[in-house]
Amino acid sequence: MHSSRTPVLAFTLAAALLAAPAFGRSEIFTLNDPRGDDHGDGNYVYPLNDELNEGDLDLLSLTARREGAGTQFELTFARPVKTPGRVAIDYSGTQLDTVARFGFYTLNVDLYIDMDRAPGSGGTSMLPGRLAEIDPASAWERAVVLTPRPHEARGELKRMLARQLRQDARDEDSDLGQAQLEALQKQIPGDVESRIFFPTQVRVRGSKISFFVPDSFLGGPAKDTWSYVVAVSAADLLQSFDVNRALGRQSEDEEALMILPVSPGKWQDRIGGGREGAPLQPPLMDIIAPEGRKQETILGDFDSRARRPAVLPGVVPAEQPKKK
Amino acid sequence: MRFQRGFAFILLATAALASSVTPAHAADGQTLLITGEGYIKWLWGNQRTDGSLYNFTTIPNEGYGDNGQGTEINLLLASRPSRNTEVTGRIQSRFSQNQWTNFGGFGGRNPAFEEPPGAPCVGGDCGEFDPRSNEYIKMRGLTARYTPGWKLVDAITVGSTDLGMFDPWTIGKIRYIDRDNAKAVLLQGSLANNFGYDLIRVSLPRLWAGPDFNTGSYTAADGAYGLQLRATPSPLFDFVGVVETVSDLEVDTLDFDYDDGRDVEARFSNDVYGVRFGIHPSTLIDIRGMAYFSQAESDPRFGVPSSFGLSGFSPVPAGEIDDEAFKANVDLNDPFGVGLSFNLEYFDIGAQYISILAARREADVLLTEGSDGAFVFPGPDNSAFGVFGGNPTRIGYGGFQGNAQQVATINVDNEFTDFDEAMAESVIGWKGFTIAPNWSLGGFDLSAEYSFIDYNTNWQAWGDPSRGIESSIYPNFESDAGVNSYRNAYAPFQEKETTIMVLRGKYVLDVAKGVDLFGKVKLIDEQDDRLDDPRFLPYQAGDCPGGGAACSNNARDYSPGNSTAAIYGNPPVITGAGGVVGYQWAPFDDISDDDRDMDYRMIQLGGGYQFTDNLYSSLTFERYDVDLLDGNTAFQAYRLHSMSSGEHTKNKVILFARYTLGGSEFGFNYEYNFGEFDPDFGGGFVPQVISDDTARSLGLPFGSLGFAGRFGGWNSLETREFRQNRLKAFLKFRF
Repeated sequence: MHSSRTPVLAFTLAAALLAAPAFGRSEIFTLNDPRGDDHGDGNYVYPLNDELNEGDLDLLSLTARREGAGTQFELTFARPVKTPGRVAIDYSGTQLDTVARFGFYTLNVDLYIDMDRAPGSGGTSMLPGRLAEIDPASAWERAVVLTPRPHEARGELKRMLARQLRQDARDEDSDLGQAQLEALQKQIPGDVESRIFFPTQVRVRGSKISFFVPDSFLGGPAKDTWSYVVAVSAADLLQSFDVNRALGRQSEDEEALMILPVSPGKWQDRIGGGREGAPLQPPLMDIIAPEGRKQETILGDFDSRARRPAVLPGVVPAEQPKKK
Repeated sequence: MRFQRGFAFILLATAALASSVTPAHAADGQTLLITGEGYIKWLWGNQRTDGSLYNFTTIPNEGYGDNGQGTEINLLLASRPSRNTEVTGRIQSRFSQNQWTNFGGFGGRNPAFEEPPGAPCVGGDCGEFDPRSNEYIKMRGLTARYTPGWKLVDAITVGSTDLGMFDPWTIGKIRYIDRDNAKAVLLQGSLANNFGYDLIRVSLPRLWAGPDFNTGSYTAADGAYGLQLRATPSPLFDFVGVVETVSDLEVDTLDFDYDDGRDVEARFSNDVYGVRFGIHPSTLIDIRGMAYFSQAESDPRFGVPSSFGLSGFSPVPAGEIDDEAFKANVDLNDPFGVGLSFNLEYFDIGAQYISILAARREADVLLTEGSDGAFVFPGPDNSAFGVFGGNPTRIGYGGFQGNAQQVATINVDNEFTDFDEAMAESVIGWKGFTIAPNWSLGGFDLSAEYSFIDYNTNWQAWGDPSRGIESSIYPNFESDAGVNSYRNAYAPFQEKETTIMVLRGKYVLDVAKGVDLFGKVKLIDEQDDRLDDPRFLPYQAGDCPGGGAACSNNARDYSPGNSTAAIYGNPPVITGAGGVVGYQWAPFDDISDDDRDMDYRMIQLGGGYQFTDNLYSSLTFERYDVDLLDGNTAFQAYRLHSMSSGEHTKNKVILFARYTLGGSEFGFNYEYNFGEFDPDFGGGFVPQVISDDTARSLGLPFGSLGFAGRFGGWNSLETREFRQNRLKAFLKFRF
């Protein structure tokens, strides 16, 4: 009878629609990370407030899938990702959900991708405020930075670089001429656009955040033979005042791009548990370490006095042992 | 040559890192850092009110307005006298009535010398004689934080705090305009590995933290004490225990022996005990729960109310009360691997659950969207809420933007807000569940909500038929009449159920930089039988025979000496419009006379575009259709409030823009609201022609029809059409 088949058809159609996104998405790789290691060098503690709690920055896995004309990266955290509500975040009543429009607000995730796998080829610096370097063996050609305010972060990064360039030109030993300075200044926006991607197609579902990176940026889909440095940090949403820097919570000369600093002791407005007198301590709560390396050792291996930052190794998914 | 290969960024960043080796304790010592914020606000609207630079307040004599320009300066001071000590302070001016047109706040009338006393200072007219209009600067907060390095104490905070380390059910984070007003001593530390604590003593805010919105006459020793124990024995499980006790003391007026000091007694006490836990077995499922128990007692010997009438105002019920609140959440994260997730929530909040320091706004304790802000404080006839003249709308016909936030208190605070801020509503008494699926379908992000809400406040005669109907322990505030209300939790008669259904969608159109398309459909079905037992009807059956005959006024007692005739009095017989003789309002002779049945539909469509890294703009259209039966003229919305039975349509066009540049931010929010209210108050009464005075007072057409209620207030039968334009623009900058 026609009427009795209608619910079955409707259910079948609904199931097909729901399942549709799963088809046409092939997994490229998954990188796993231990649960409970959201403590940087082993001593970091979350701020003493209710905004960030243990597990919030604990990355458990990164999965890349082929989807359409790009790659869908999916991050899984130990706890449901905190979503922005309509609450005021400053003294003038700025509403959180109007600032953090992409469904999350507490974290940044940086991906530095070594595509050519040629040691020494590419960059070894991380974004401002990360206070660590990439292992030259995994020097990167492309970076993807998931951050709650991607447009503002990109604009701020360009301004930071321009300021740094002008500062370099003023240095006594600088051999930078005016013409070169202007040329390099013009070069900054293009460099940023072509090498650093700030995702804006972002979905937050429970403990997962997925974001889309187009082929036009990576030159094709992500590959499991590339090397990835993955670092999770706490987001500084307002990037305001640089009080942290002025109060010595972070290095005076280093600008920070929307990242909470780490500091000795325990505080309400920044990551605690840092070392005394260690301006090069990277405020990274969780990284994906390659097999056989420990995150705590990697992030703790720096020497501020000798100007030697922590060096983060890349992880090549194809070279990671398969877990059953 | 440092810049080569066209790869300036990487080399630049390397250079920056290499130079960043200044010791972290460089700022130790007596260095004082002063930074600041400037905030300039521009309000414009066609209500033409200019009482202050906030759109909304219910506080008498503070002023509200939709026009004016003003400036705030906020100076932030910080220093690290030593590596264990950090001091921060804040000095700020306030908008209040500091309009640019005050020209600095000079001159003005001085109310102290006016005889007889003049009208309150509003709109800056008192110039330099009122701190709210003479650009005064206040100390807003000073905080010393110590990290002593002791084994059991990680940090000691003395002074201002936002109380953000507790939770909105007990000690809630303080709203932004009061952010540093709370003063406390706070100890935080660890008793063992993964076992931390917060211990606080907060001085009790005398402005609102007690019965009748005050803490009596002896206030300086009043305080709240909170202890929170946080345990995380494993990444899979965490647990928090909370204890809070509030002490509002008064001097014992019967203690005449001063030689051994004076005794004190509690004017108001409030204890809360609670637990919260989280179970995180896998990324597929996350479970959280909480259970709180509260008890409170108000002592009428110290002037606090022992009962309320039909329109009581107080942040706590009277007398000795206790109750519980429970909540459980289960998140199922993509259990089928097809991008479909579920958030489930069960909640049960007792009618007498009270924590006087619970979050009053800027918190959201439930998963549901709840109601919308569009219909709160404009009443249906665009008055604030009452039926008398001189009570025009404050926030304006458009109400607040967006849906409400839910807070676990009747001490809700929507004061000193603008239309673009979220409205908070009380969930005291709510019990029910929410199912919220969200999924992705191709490029669509979809989310939905189904909420069913029953109420612990469903009762007859305030839940205690032994008392008079105008002698309740519960404050009624602006009542539950109307499309919705924000701080009312109690009604004399309630038998209510609410169903909320929401479907939201978002799609990024792959054009240029990507166009955000978003939309929402929201349905609310609410039914409230209110008085549902004939024994509570005010008069004996057949008391009003109709046909122009007067009522006999034979009251019916629902308990000895108590009758609802006290609030639902019979109508007189009048000669109304067209010479028709009949009752001035319908007699309350059937349990359906006060029934409420709301069919609420809202649809939203919008689009946004990021024009540059610095500029984002969106355009949104919202339409609200509400078919509402909210009692007839026998009910009269509890006598004092505007009746809202009828059809409501409201439309909003919202243009939003945000522009950021370095440390500056420019915001723009324009709304055009238009709509209609077509009243339908039922039959059984004779419409009257409005008097010219009432028409002038309420802004109604001369000669229009309506009816005068039990207290003489007027409810119009005219179809009303509304238009409102309003704008809020702001500039914030950091320096």
